[in-house]
Amino acid sequence: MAPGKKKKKKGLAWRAQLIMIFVLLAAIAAMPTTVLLCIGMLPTLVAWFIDRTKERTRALTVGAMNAAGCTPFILQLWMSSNTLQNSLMIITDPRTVIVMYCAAGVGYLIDWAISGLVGSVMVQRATSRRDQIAKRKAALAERWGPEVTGDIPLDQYGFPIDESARNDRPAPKKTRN
Amino acid sequence: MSDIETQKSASAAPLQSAESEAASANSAAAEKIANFAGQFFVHTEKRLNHFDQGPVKAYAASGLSDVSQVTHYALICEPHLTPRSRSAAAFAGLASPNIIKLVATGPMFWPPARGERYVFIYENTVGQPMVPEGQFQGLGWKPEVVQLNVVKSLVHALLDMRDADIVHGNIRPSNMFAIGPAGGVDRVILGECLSTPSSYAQPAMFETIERAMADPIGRGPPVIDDDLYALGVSLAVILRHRDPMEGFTDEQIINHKIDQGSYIALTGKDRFSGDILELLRGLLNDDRVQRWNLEDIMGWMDGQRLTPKQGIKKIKAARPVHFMEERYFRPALLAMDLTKNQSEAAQLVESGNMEQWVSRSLEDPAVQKRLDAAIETTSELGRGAGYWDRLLCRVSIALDPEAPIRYKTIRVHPDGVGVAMTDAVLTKKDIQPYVDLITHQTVMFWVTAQGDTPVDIGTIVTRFDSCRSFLRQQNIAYGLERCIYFLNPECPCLSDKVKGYFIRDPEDLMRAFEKMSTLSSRPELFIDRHIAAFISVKERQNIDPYLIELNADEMYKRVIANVKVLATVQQRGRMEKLPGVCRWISQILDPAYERFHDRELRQSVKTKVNQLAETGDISKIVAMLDSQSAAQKDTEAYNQARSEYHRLNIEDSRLEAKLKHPEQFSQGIGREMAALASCLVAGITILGFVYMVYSKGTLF
Repeated sequence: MAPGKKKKKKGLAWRAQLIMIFVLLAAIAAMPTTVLLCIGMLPTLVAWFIDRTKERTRALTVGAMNAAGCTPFILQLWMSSNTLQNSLMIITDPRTVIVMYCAAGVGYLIDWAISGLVGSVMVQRATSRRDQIAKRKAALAERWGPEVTGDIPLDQYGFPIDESARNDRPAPKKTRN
Repeated sequence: MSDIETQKSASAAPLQSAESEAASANSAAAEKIANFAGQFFVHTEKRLNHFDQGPVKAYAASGLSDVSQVTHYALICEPHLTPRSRSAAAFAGLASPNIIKLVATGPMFWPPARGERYVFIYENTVGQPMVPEGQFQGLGWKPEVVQLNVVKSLVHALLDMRDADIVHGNIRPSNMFAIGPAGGVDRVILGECLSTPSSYAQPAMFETIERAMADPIGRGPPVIDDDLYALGVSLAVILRHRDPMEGFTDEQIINHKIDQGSYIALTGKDRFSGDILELLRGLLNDDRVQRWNLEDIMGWMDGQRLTPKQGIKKIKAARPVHFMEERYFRPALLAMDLTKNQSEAAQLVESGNMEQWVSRSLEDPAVQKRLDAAIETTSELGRGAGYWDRLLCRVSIALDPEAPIRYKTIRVHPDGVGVAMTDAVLTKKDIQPYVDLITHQTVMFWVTAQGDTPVDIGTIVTRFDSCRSFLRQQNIAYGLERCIYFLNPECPCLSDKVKGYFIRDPEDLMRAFEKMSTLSSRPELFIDRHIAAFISVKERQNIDPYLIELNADEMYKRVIANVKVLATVQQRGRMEKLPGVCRWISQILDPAYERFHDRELRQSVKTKVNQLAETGDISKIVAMLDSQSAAQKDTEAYNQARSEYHRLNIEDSRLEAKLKHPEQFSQGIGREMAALASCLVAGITILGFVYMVYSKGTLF
């Protein structure tokens, strides 16, 4: 198994390396867009490093809105002359950066608002479910007795051992002979 | 016989509650009249002493038509003296004019005792007995009158009884009634014999030497030979002019009979001649083999003349042995007295003097052989506690094997052990000697010592072997209680639970429970050791399948087993409905209900059982409680409930843990939702920009 896993890991690394090379080549090939994105997507990069969760969902939230904020300027670049000079000109326009970063801010806003809202709904639901569970457990205990809880020792038939002992018969008569 | 049957059916009739019976009993007591099954009134304060049978008292009884007319008399049996109830039907069926007529029998509520007593009701048409009880000096009747009227009547009575397979065991002049004109006798009527154990009321004089040696309670059932001997003694009393043994104690009477032989001992100086002499000698022969039987008497009555041998049966030694400063020539007398002084008797045996006397003076190899066996077998049982009692018991058997077993304070024939044990239990006497007799195989030794004996040896061996095995088991339905009912089949149930009731069979027991069902003092459970043993001996199938459950440690098993036994008795006996017993059962079933896990099912079953109780059919209650499918479903549902409870516990714990950190909800699902919303908004926005660009700023 171990050699197999190693082979798989090697395969993945090789594939990632290939993608990286491809992206790098694409970035070089589309240098004006790359420059625009590098500056415009900085909030996402920051969010990526700040977000310590495994899924990095906050970075995704911010990144999506940040990308939406960058889209009009990329389209402007692509629709005019797609040069490095034009790209620098667009990026150095303060309005561009403001729009891009504000969009990222909207992402943060969405993250804060929705996660808070969902969190409170979930707490509410969990509390409600716990109430239901308590009621159901009480109903079970009422119908099947305390032995259903599994908290008391039971005999082989599932009855409390103490109860059997309570019903114990009187001591048998001693032999007369 | 019809009266007997009527009585039986009357006792099976719908039962009154115990309290109403007690109330009616109270009123009856106030009127001094007890009601016997709606057939007879027994006057509780009108004693008829001349009909008494020992401790069993006779009372005046009358039919329903005229209470003041005393047409019958009732014998009210004592609880500790087992009546011969099994012979009652046969006795009532006797159509002999020479036997008192039994008209009804059965248990009856007896107000003075505040409980049930077994009662025999006889016709009161016989007047006074020939002699008052205990006054057997002699009547001096003429032999011709006796031969013609007394002997003929009594022999015909005995023939009728033999045909009905009954042995009387109570033949004596004080239990005979002369019928005839004033001053004369036409015939004699023989009195009753059922109200006490066999021969219990019979004075020692009227018993053969061997039976007289036994305690009255331990004589065992007689055989026809014993009746003929009693007939001979009775004739001797009627014929003789004076009692040669007047003032003698029972022991002195036995000694005198052994020394002189019964004929001489009973007739003394009275001299008889002719026919009657032959009869008396024939009947009073101490040798059972030589004694006349009914055919001999019939032959004698037809004129055949026999010459009976007359002699003393008990052997005698050439030289005496000294014991308790007395000289003993006869081993039978020595055997009688051995237990009077245990230390001296022990010394006699231990020193070898006894063996020496037997071998040199008695010169009877059979006795010698038995004595050796007695000493050897007793040693085999060990010289621990009770050794001397065991040894002297066996030595006395060796010396006089036909005598009863003498052990510690008891003197019993093996056939009488059951009745004697019953008496000992009810009168709170020491029961241990009887237990010892069984466990030490004393009866087996007695059996091996027997020569020609009228008792069925094989039956005795089997019975006492069984009893020994019963005593080894101490479970319910075994032990001493079973021995009592096994050895005394006529014994009523002795359980304290049914004290005050006379229980002859499991059906009687059920009816007693029905009467007790409304009493506040009723016990909790039905079956105890006595009742279990009683039912098991009477009808094994009624209880034996449930003995394991009856012996169980768990209360619910014992409760259900109790109910099952009652149901089986009711079903097998095809008994009437018993709603009182059913209601009683329904009130003790809580441990059985608790064997269902489901509380709702418990309540449902309880409700159904309460409804079924009104039907009086115990089997239906058992079917409800013993449903395997219901129990299985209950167990399955219970297991599912336990699994569900466990799952809920896990879920609850997980939720509880999460709720301790509510921010985890926003960090987890909340952020995922936010990312989703963000991606959606961003996607729409990007698409909007792209569309605007490619549509040159114009929408659509």
